[in-house]
Amino acid sequence: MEPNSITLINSHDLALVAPAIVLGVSALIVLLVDLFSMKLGRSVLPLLTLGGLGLALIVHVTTGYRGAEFEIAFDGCLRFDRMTYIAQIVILSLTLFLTLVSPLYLIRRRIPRGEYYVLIMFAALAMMVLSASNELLTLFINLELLSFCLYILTGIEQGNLRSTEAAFKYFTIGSYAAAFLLFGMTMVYGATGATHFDEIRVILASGSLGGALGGNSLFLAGGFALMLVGFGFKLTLAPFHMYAPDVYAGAPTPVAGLIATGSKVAAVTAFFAIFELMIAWGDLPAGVYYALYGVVVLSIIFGNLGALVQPNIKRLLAYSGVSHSGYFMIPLLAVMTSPELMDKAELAVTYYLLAYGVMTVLAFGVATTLGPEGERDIDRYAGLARRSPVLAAAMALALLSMTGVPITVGFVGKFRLFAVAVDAGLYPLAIFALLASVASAYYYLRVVVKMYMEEPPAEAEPIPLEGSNALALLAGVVCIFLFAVLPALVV
Amino acid sequence: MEHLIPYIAIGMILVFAAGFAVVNSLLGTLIGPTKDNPAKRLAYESGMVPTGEANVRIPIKFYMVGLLFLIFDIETIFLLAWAVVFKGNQIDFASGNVGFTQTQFQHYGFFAMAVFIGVLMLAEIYAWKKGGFEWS
Repeated sequence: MEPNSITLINSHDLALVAPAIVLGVSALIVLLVDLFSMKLGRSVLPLLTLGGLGLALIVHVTTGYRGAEFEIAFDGCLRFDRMTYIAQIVILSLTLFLTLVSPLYLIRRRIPRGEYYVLIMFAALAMMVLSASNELLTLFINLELLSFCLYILTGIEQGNLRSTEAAFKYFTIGSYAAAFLLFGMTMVYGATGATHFDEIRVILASGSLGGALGGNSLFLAGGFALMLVGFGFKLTLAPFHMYAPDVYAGAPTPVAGLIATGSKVAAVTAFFAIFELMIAWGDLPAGVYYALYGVVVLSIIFGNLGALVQPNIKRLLAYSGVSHSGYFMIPLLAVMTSPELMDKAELAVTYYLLAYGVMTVLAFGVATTLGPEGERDIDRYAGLARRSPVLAAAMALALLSMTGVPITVGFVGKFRLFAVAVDAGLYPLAIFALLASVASAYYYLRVVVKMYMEEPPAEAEPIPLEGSNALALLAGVVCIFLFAVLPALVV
Repeated sequence: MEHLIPYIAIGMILVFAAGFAVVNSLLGTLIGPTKDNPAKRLAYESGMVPTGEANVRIPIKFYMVGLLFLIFDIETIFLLAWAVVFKGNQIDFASGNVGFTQTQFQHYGFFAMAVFIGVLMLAEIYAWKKGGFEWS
């Protein structure tokens, strides 16, 4: 930054982070209401949370980024572009969805509601800023804020051993991943002498590395590799995915939904910014490319193989998330071989953020609505179509979309991801991903077959549907079709 | 390889020292007499005579104090650095490189710190209300 660009906070910057400020203030209001209104106020909490999230969404759509190529705020610490804009809308909508389906679940499981809603909102705040991060420290601090909220939320069900175990596992492995990420950042900083992405990009493009490590490119490559590992944990990319099934299965279902969708959407957006730095460096060693290639192939293989044998729906969704993380990285590989595809890759990833978020959160929404039954074995889903046609239809639609059946967002999303790989000439990868996607139909459709073609258990009763849950599920179903038929609404 | 030659001596010392220690302790256990008695199994001199079992539940009330300490500690750390630069005497406002006046700088600093302390105070109120300051 030049010396004469020193400014204090200004209205342009504030307008860009206004949704995050709205979220933060409403979270504090929810906290205070929970503290000072003993009994009557508890039922207001979800309404306040919905209000805060809704207001943030409105503020985001009306005042945020205005369609310029990108906007910079806070001395280059934050960067708002098309991908960030969409990702933030997706994050807010996912959080809104999960808040809508949570209230009954929380009462049934006796989860402290005040803390739950406050942490959900702080997590959403962290995700929003994380997806706009344009500086190493801003990125790390927001990733940690997000992680801490999720660790506590995972273990928020006091007295439930599985929830506590999941929280402990998530915390230890998350800290481990954070250490990798931080060490990678140190090395990148050491090699370039800058923490702002804009400065790092200029330094890398110029080819002459500054920094304390005397421009040693080995540190730079090592730094990027370590950051890939750190993000690999957060994105549950194989071989760093082992904790995901246990955490998803142990965490309260809406929290598992938030971990699976919101935090992944934010992390993918943040990782894409790091990836742009890697691309800016002309001498990026081929090893990084092969490492990412290996991670993608392993994620798709392990994700699909793992999901084949899971008896528990949340573990199945966890493994399916692993393979979807692999799909997310395919356009990145394509850009590494042919950099001119950057724009197309960015669009494909942005669209898939929305597609993946919608279909996964819908599946978790159905599992949350089913309550204790939804978290148990897939066998409990037998005959669900008789007991609750709406829930069965929503679940079936989410799973079909994950498989990639046409006229769903999943199909359009996967098509765009694979098309980038084909454009780059990565035919083996595209064919492999396509075959894996076809194979995934086996375990997704297994659940659908159970719901529609098997008899419900003898003692099973029809399942009532709450108004707020029905509203949320309906919105999810509409989104799955709407954005598939009119992808131009997104990007 | 020539540059490693001076280190040969160091390597020899390492081998000799390790060997001396291992050989002596091995000789001690092999040749030395071993007569056990209860007094030998007790804590040595200043130690307490152990009672009860090790598998007891230890109250961890102290963690709450540690957690609250963190809040106030962070507050102090930020306040100190903030107080040093608050007046802005280190900044050359007249040079034209700076896009604001000294008064604006101070107002901004005051406002920023007020927001920070405000959020921190909410955390304290939360801890207080939840009984974090009670030791029982």
